[in-house]
Amino acid sequence: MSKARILIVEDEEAIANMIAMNLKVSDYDTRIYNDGKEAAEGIYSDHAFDLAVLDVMLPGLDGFALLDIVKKYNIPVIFLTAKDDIASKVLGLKGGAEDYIVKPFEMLELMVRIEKVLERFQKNNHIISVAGLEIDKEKHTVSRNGKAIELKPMEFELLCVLAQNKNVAISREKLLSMVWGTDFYGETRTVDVHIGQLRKKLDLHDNIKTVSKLGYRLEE
Amino acid sequence: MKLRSKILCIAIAVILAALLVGDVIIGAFWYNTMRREALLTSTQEMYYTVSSINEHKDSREWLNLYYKRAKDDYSICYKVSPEIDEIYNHTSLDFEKLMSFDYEDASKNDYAVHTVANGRLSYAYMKDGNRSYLVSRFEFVSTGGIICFKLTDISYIKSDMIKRISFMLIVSISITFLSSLIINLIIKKVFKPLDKLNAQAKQMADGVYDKRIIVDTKDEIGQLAENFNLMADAVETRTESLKKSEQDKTLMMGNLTHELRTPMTAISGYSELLLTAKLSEEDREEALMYINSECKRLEKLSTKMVKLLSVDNEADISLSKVSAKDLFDITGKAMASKLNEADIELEACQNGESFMVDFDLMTEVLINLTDNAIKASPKGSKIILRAADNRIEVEDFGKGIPAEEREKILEPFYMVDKSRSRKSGGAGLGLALVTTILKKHSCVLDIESEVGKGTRMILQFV
Repeated sequence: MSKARILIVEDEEAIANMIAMNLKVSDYDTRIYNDGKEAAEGIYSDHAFDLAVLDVMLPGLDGFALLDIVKKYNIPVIFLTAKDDIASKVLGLKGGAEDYIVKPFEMLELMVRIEKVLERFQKNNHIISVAGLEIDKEKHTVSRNGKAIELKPMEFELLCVLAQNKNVAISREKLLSMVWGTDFYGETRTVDVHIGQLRKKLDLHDNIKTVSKLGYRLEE
Repeated sequence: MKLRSKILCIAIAVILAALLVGDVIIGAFWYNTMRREALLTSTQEMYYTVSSINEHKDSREWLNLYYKRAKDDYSICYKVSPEIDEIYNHTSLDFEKLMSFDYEDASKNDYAVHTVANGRLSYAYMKDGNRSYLVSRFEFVSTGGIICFKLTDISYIKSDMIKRISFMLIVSISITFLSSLIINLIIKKVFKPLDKLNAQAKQMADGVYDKRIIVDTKDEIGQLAENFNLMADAVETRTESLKKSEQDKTLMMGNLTHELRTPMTAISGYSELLLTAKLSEEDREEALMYINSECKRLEKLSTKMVKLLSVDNEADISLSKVSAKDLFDITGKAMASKLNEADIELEACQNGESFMVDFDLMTEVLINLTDNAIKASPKGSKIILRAADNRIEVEDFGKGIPAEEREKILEPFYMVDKSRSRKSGGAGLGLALVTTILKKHSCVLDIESEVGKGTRMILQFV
């Protein structure tokens, strides 16, 4: 499976590295620019990106100008900016950005949105390999060493979420809302039960870790 | 009731009252004069009539003749001694009635112009229905008991009076009416600036401060308008400055939130990453390093903010005579390590000048300016601290400040080169602090700068 490569242009070095670190944990490749002009010049020679996360207020060249350059190479763009006025949002989205996220943001939200955009552009592989498992999101099948394992729909969804956020702990509440939806008034016990099922069916007792006070983490 | 109507009413009342009092006085004067004239005429006539009687022997006959000739309807003559004998009487009054009146001696007052030797002249007033009469009486002392009466009809005085007074009343009322019209016009003219003033005050209450009243009169109302304009000026400048400071504060709050948000996002993001994700040792260290540096940034920001606020709130600063040498020495010491690191030479030029300043605060100013100069300067260049008569300069030969940035750099949190300043640990509060301190010293900051050549910060003491 080829890793998706993501361009990050953000003038705050700390924030840029934080995004990169998160993406790295989820098996993405990243490239960081802290300056708009440098980014524009860099893209000219190196434009093999699957997605770009752009800030708007940048030194050198602003995000909207950068958007036009990035669009030329058919790279989908997500804006990540402190500018929360409607005019900027409209300008960004009409200009061709796929998404517009206002700072301060939740890292998990950014990750999910990145995934969704990549899915839309079919740049994300629909087959996820993790811990010896092959998960086909299109066919809704899981197999280990070519042998298919039967899973209930909710168990499959839960596995997908964990696999996509590999190495990241997700709280029970978040899992509940991500898998069952925000309308679901279930208890976090539901999550525990399903995790138990996954561990048993897929033999993932060592891989699905319970992180105290936080939730669950799927490790390689 | 409006002031103008009040004034008008009062004026009308006063004019009318004055005219009426005048009418009454004039009327009374006329009445008295006419009555006196009537009395005078009557007594004189009486006198002329009777004063010649003495010279005739048969005065009775003479009188008879006289009265017959006179054909005077109101003349009466009686002989009373030895018995009452009517000589002549044209009236319906009998002797009893005539004698019953309350006579006054004419010689006692001014009306008796002529002294009468042979008799006594007296008079009385008589009313008969609507008519009134003056009765003059003459008693002969020498010519044995002759009493003459003469009735003068003085009813005309009253009717005349009524005519005159009613005429005067009409005149008074028309005068009042006319004068009220004139007064109204005058009041209108006088009150016109007041109306303007009123409208202006109302507008001002609604928040329109930039309009002024044009008044060309020099009277009290003119002065009031002038003072009102002065007040409007004061209110305008005061509100403007309040608005400005309010805007500055909002801007500063906005900037502060923005400045706080970035390190907070980073800290919470990295800590969450550390908590939730399985990271390599290298990444863990990096995340911790970022958390640490962002915390330091927050710390620095809060220190600067506290300093800025405390200087701003401090009502008075303690001024003392400080020599330029001391100021430059301490600045040099404080910046020594940074200067070394950047390989920049600090040159202090002074000739024993001294300034009335707060030592700590002025040192803060020089340290901040020097710090900025270091950030702008290339390696191996120099920075000059220069003292002159009433100015201190900090000059560098760095990259300079573009003209359009020169105003903005004094704003809190403004940074010409964001990423570079952040890397060198700036919060964008240095110059804001400098201007606040200088304001307390009533000192002006002038900036002379040329892009690519350098910057000269001039502290001009007033």
